[in-house]
Amino acid sequence: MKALRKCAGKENGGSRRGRPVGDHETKRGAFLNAGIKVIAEQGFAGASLRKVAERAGHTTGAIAHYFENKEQLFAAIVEALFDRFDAMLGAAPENETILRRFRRWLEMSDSSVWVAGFQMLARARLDPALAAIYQQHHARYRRIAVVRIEQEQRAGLIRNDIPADLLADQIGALADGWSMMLPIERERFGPEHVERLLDALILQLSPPRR
Amino acid sequence: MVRVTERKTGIGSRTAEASAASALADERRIETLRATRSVIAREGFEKASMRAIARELGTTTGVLTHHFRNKEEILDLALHATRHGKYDGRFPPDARFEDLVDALTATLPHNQGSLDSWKVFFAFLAYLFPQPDKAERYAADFERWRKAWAMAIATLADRGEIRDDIDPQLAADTLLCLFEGAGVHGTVSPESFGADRQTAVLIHYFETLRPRSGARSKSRGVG
Repeated sequence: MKALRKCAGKENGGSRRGRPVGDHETKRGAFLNAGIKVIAEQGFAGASLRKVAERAGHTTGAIAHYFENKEQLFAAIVEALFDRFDAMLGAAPENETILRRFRRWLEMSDSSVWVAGFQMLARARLDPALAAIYQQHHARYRRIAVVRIEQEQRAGLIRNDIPADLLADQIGALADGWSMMLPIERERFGPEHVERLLDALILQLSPPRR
Repeated sequence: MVRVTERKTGIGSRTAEASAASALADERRIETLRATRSVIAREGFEKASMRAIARELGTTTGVLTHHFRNKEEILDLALHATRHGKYDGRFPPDARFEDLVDALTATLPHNQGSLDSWKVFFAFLAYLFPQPDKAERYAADFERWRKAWAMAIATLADRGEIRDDIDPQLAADTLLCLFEGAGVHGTVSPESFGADRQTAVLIHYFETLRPRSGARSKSRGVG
């Protein structure tokens, strides 16, 4: 959390110096994307601010203007990944079921996002600031999912013999599990296979046919 | 390599004629693996040098190289040691539904020791990703577990204890993802996703595999 506030402060600092905000955001976004690629290729341990700056075609000095250290960059990348997820959810039609949304999420990311995502999730076990970001977002999605699942249970779309909060946790844990298995076994977890897995899950969570 | 791992970590059966000297050597190796696990869980994979492991053990790197070829061997064995016990995917043909549930839930991060094991596992995965050749070797373990799970699920479906309208391969895939996901979730958010919660989530996934009056077709007649 502290890292986040620092990031926000830095952004304000940038615009105070008269730098156009749009330019600032674009450059920051380019560093975040470069960071995802470097982490995906070299792992968390192998990624450095210098490598990320080089990858984005800038100097170490330029990236230091946006991120004080590696930890801050990674916290920002995790936030950016959650932002993308939120944007995807926001763009979904209002009446789309939770499992369709889950499918959308599985389809939206390229492999470097998966690999980098897992690197960061694995890193969170050692980094309390990063873990706090995950915990906060997990709790938020869980609240949203519980409300949604309860609605779908009432509408007869999801079986109602399992409490909504347990189903929400099940989907949350599955999401983490998938994000870790997909990059390890990229060939196995191709789009068709993921589709079949989701169909099975939907069948298992459907109310019994009458 | 795997065979050695199994012997040294107590998964397989120890030969009866193992001499006292080799038993002592085994003990040293097990102690070393335990120390390695602590270092990795606490500081991460990249910090687990021979020197750090020796320090944790209160010994010298010279003693370590007497028992292990190199750091790679220690790390490999430490990883495999994190995944032993009930979750090695061997089920007798007469395993019941409850045995499957027990096998998975017992291996979740329930206490400090198992939490450390999970941290080591994640550390290892994170380290593997940029090294495709090693990741491939590890993927073989997943494949082995999944096969055993799919087989057990298929057997239970034949006996009518699991619904028969789900492909056992897909159920095994999802189970493994759910299991790993519950572990990573529990490791990152131990307060909101503790042992009881993880167990409840897994048990309720198993619940969705149970035959249901409206959804079963042929299973009633089988067994």
